[in-house]
Amino acid sequence: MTATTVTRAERDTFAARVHARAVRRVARYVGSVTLVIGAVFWGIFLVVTVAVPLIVRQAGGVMGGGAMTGAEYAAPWFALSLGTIALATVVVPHLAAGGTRRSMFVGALVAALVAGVAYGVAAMLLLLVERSLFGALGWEWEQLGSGLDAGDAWLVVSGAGTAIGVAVYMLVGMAAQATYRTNGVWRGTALLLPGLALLVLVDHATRSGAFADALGGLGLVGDQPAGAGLLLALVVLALAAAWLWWQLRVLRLRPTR
Amino acid sequence: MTPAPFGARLDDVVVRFGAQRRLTADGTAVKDEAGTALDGVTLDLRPGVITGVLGRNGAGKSTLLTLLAAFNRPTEGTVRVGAGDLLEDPWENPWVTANVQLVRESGDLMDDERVSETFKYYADLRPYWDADLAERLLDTFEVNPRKKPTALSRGKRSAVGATIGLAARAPLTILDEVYLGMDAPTRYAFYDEILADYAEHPRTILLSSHLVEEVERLFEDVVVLHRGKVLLAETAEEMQARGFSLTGPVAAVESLAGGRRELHRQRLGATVQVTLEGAPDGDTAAAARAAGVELGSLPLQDLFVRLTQPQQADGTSGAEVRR
Repeated sequence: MTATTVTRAERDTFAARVHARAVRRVARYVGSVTLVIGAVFWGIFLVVTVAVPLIVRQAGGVMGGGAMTGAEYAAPWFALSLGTIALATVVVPHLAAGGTRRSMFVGALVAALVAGVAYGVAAMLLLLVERSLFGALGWEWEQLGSGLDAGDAWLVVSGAGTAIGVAVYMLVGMAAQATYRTNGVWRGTALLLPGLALLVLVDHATRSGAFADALGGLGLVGDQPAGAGLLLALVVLALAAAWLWWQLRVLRLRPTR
Repeated sequence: MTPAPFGARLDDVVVRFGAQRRLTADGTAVKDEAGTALDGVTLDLRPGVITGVLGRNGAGKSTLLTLLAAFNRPTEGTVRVGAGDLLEDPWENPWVTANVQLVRESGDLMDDERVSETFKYYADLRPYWDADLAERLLDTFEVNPRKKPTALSRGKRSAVGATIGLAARAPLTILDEVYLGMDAPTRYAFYDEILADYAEHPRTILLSSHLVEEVERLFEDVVVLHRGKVLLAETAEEMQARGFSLTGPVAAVESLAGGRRELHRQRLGATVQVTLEGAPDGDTAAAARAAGVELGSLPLQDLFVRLTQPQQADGTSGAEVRR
């Protein structure tokens, strides 16, 4: 290793290269955590989706809707938890290893989008499996969960809704982790509210999830065209990304001794 | 391409923290008090030397060091880090952060992953990471890389941090009390590794430690912080010229000491060692030799204690005396 004087151009090239490497590393770490553990999650729901109707059939019963709806409810919260844990694990080593908050954000965003797409595809596959199984058992199948008016495109709309919802929940989970680090317990808890609002909004936009049920139960929402719902969900996704960046950009690692 | 060793400049830097209650990794709530960690710090850190950053608990050492690595940013003032004329704000600056390695006492490891996973992360981000050195140091410090940090003793965890600091080969390497928990043989092995690697791969090293006697031999420059301010920032040579020690029979030493200001005194039977302010003149040196009194250099620890002790007999603080 021979130390040299560096020109401005060399400096800029170096900075761009290390930024790209840092983004890839965060995306790989957070993405692999959510995909590997997510595979277990979806594997369990695949077993449940297939086993529950067979058990009910064996007992002589008939199901009105499948078990897959449980996955649709649980997947976003699962992603939120994984996002929180993954960021908690990686954020300090990332900064200590020379990464910036910006590279942390971009890598986390990429990971959230990849996880969203992967979970969305998994949800579509499970829906197809469940519908086929119901058909084979001679039962009538009805999709529970998403309330977007999608017609023949119900499968794609369901998958897209799940993908966007999962990505939003994951980004909000990571933002909550960053918020607590910077602001401590009390302010950090208060700052959960904007994130919570984003969760309510995306559930409302996709007409799926616990918050959509709660709003529907209060009679506050009606049917919504799929296009409008997904468009609104994408806007919420952008807001969730902005919220994560807002929290990461001010992240300070205070001396703890 | 490895840039030249990095230096740094701080101008009128103030860092204030608000009170904060936070949760630790084990789930307990800890309250960090509000306060001013740094109060108008102006300081030049020379590139290419080992600088000791000293101060009592709460003096602002860790806060100062975190500014250089962009863990934090100042409330007021400016921080610039870089090589040659390219001194830049480190905050969100990948050129600077990739060339600055701060290792804190905690080691900043992935607690839920094996040590080897943390090292892979550092290897991917650190442009000059030396995997062979990392492996050899872990072997030297007897750390099993397949263990998770939570399964390591405090000393082993510190050794992992020390390994990261050296293997990163960053042009500015900052080691903030990384020795904590290490036993004496490990600490001395660590100091030897610092010197050996520094000689082979010159860079700037900032070393913060409370074990002043152990590490002073490493220092080329010394910065002493006290209550958020810089008390002293100079070369080790200049610092040593601030005083000297006399060791020998009590009567002879008392005679030679004369009316000089005494920084420290230690007596063992008929022998006494006193540390005195100022430089010995030729007459004193000759008289010391004639009287069988050993003339020694100023122990940094004595000066440090004197500078930072809360109250002198005359009612002034060590800092006021110095200034």
